[in-house]
Amino acid sequence: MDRVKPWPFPPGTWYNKALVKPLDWLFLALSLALTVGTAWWVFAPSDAPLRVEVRDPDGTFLYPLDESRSIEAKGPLGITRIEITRGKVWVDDSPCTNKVCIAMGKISQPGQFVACLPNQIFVRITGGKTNPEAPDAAVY
Amino acid sequence: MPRSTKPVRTDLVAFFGALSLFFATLEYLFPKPIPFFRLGLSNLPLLVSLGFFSFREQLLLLLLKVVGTGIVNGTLASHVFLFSTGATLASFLVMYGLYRVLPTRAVSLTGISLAGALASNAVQILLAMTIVYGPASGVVAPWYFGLGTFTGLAMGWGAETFQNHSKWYGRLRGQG
Repeated sequence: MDRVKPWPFPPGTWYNKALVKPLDWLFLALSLALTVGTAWWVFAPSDAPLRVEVRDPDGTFLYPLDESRSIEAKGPLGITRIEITRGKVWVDDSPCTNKVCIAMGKISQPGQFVACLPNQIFVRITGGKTNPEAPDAAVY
Repeated sequence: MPRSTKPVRTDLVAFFGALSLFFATLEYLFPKPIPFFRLGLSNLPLLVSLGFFSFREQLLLLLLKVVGTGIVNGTLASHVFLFSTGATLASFLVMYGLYRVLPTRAVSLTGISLAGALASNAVQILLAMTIVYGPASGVVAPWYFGLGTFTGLAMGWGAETFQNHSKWYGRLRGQG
């Protein structure tokens, strides 16, 4: 099946010899724009204090990032244990098969996340600055 | 009368389906930086065969890939299958449409692969946010789109190089 059709670039030009064609750049630009756009949406700085947002099937729970604690989040597979220590958060144990959430390691910056998708647990850091007068935990 | 040893088209679809399964298994060799992210190796046969399979043959290949991968990976009865089917279907429709509509001088398999990766990742994120995990799962979007750009480029470049240099592929296209 021949799909060669007339095009403004004559045969033998750079575009016809190279592996990269004009519209490749368009799709590359579109991909990069979506990456930057969604990154801005997720990582946009905020004046709210730094908090750890833990989302499980029962709801969303907020904890201050600067207080050490161990959290047990319940998902369809069982309990995922999350640790907050010295401004860092990580998944310590989870009943999922591949343990990608544990392998994702520790997070400490706003916008970073750890997810255990099989157990439907999301952990992310929200806000942008530390507020010493923030409540210990809030539930909604 | 001796039987012809020339492969018939359904044999080729089955062969490309088997290649997809092989590549899907190979993906396990690579660590996943974020949950459920895939390099897209198993989409390579779909991408390469755009040049000589009809729409129905491509759909059959897609079915073989999605169901076969679900059986091999044990995800056929899970939400992962929904992700896989939605993403592969979206990616295929975009790649097939662009390949048929745009002239070869305008776009290479690199661009088509990028567009397919974009569609695949967008559908996965939308499915995660609206049906499976809820709006919070949108935090994976920049990682999916960012890594998808790199893998889409790599897969597309690989497919384009293969298409331009493989004599076997040239013979297949001649036969098709």
